[in-house]
Amino acid sequence: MKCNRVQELLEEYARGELPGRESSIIKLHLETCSSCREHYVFLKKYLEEVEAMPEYRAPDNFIESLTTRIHETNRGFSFSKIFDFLFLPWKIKLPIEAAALLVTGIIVITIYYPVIDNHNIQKDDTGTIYHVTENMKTKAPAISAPAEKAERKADKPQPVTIQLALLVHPEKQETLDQYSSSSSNARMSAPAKRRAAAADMEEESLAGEKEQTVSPGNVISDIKAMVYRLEGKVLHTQVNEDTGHTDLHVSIPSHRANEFIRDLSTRGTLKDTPVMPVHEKPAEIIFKITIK
Amino acid sequence: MYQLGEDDHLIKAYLEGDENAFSSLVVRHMDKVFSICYRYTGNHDDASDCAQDIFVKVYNNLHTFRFKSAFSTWLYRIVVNSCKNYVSKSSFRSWNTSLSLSASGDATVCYADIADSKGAPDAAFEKKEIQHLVMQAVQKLPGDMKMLIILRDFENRSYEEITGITGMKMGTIKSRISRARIRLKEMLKEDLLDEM
Repeated sequence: MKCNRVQELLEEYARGELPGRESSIIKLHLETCSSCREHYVFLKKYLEEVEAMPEYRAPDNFIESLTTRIHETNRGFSFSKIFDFLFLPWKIKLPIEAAALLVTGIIVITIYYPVIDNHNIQKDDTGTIYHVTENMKTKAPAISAPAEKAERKADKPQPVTIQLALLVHPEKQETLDQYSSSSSNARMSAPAKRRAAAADMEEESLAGEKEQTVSPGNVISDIKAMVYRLEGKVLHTQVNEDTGHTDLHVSIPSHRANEFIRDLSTRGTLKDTPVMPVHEKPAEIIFKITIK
Repeated sequence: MYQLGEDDHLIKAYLEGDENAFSSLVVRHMDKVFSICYRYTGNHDDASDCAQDIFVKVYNNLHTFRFKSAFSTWLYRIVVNSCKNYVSKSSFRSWNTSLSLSASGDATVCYADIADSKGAPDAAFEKKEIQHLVMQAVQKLPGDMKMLIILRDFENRSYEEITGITGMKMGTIKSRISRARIRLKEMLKEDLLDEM
């Protein structure tokens, strides 16, 4: 056995706590190793002195001082107290708090998410689009969260629908002539094909109007040509048999909506003349024009 | 299976609202705790302060005690950590300010019993002097070694208990204690070995 191992066991040997076999090995080693023997002698003396030392006693006023200290420590505001109260013991409080936080988050998102979305729409159009269909406002909160999410995933901005009433009358004939000449000078830029076709249709329409009296039918084809020129789409046309009015549904890119309304007002009298803000969202605006 | 002891019953009583049970718990352990603190810090006032810190921690954390081990093991764990923290926090006062045997009032407190020991006053004084030298030598040990020596040699804790208290492996504890004793021998051999 090496000396350092012997010295590790010497204390137990000196106390008589070592098993017989190891004890006899140590005894044998001590007979031959003076260094370990010296260490053993020291150890015995050292342990004797230590055992003879008195037990120290706490001061007489220890309990009183401790009581005062505990009251002082636990009185008043303390971050460590709050921390202990909130988080200790970790194993119990942290999972509960995490679960509570998660549930609260889900509830808040569930309640406020559609409102926030609706609010954004209103904010975009405040003061300008007063014709935003009511069903847009009322429908939004009714949409369930999963359906809302699905719509968002599809990343399709909701179109804004504007209802207009266009009253056609003969006095607009001159304006139409002017518009015809100005539109013939309209720039023929890209997308060339589409615009050229739109311009041709418009010219044809206006030429027809010159020869004929202004009628709802002429105005409809005129408006369609205008829609194509503005890179919009004609969605559908519907004639109301009861009233005889024609409803024209068209979709116009939002940044050209004002131009469309302005041009539209040259074709007749608009009941309301909304001014559209030029913005990117929504990408398109659907106009429902009732032509009387 | 761990058997509930008197400490555990006191703890349960305290947790059920009996404040006196905590006082009883303190009374049962305060001398041991103070003794370790005194041997570790080497100063009566520091030992008292440190021991009070320990019992404040016990008071505030007793609800986390799970009755899976002996209360004394749990308490000693707090004692070990608190002593180390206390010494490192207080930019430590050197050992020789504390155990200056002849001048300090602390020493009178600590060694008062020795004056009553049997034998001549000279022999008693000599014994007291040697014990003081031993304490001084222990004070010079590095923190971990000092605490291990205190637990094993002064508090007579078994190696298994020390393992539970410190969280160290048995082999590490034994080798550190052995190295600590070699250091003590280097410091004390003139005083202890010459005497023989």
